[in-house]
Amino acid sequence: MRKDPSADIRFAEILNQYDALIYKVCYMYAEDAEHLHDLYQEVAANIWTGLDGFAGRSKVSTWVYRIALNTCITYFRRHGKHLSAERLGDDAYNLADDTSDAERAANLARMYQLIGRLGKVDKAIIMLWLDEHSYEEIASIVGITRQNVASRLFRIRNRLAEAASKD
Amino acid sequence: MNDHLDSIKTQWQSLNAPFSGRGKAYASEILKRRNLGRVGSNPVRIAGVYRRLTVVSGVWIVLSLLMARSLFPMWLSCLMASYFAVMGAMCYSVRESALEIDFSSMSVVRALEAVYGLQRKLLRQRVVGLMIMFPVLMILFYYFSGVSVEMVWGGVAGAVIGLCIGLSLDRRVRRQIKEMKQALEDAMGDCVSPSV
Repeated sequence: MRKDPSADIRFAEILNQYDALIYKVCYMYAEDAEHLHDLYQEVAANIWTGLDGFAGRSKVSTWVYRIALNTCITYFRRHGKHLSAERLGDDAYNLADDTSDAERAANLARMYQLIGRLGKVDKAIIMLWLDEHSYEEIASIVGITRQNVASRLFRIRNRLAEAASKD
Repeated sequence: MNDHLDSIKTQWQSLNAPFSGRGKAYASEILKRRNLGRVGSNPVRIAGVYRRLTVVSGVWIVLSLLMARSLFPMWLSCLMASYFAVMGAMCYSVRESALEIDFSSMSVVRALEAVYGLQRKLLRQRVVGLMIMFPVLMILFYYFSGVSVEMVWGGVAGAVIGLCIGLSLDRRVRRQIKEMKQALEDAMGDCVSPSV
């Protein structure tokens, strides 16, 4: 059990600073509100356990992104979805501090619907691209070649644009 | 096309502001669990469960051999001890595989491969355990039938309950393996099957 108080402070700072990043990644992979909470906790637990090993070879944001994606993509629920579980639907559940703007909330929900139709790995690729990571960074985080990133992004972007124009 | 993508990008990046207090709340929750020694993700939890199973297997090896003095003939004790030795070795192997998973350094594809491999190992361990356990149990029941019929019925009841629990867990693991395999195929292309 790690007892270094500076690790506690660093951990809290990371979660505070990258909360939005973690939350929006978890939201993308969650089926309902309970699942979302579980995913976030799991990501936080993985950040905590990986903190000692983080040697600063990459940016903190890239490191957090990697943990969040790996956790969400490989997570398996120990318990099935509860019948009463609140679905992540059209109300853009807690996506931003202020969703009093109904149009903004609707746009956010729409965005998640479009990206949510993609496969697990394609979601990861497009999220990284939307956050303006380079093709090399995306290739490194996902574990595919740069050419593969380029061809997949081309296909994903076409699909998103087509889906967005249809609706 | 660019307008739609620009809109999506704008929406996505508008979510970068931290939600007030949420990150701190989750950090506080994790640190509380840390103090109780209960922080761990799925692979860490699996490693913990299989560490305990390895220890239990070791204890049962010793107990099986001790029973040779009082309850069972030596050959039966050795058979039971051998079964627990095999299961203990498999549990240890599962634990080691779980501990190798490090989401903070692995790529997404590597993490998928590792989790997929772990789940297949879990399933293999269960299947092999069942295949070995069945003849051992039959021999035990045959031996007990000469000692006490009640012991046989107790053993049968325990075996049936264990089988039901095992089949239920087995179904869940198979579903998880299927999900991981689909995600891996999605990552590596439909023409490539996961090699783990």
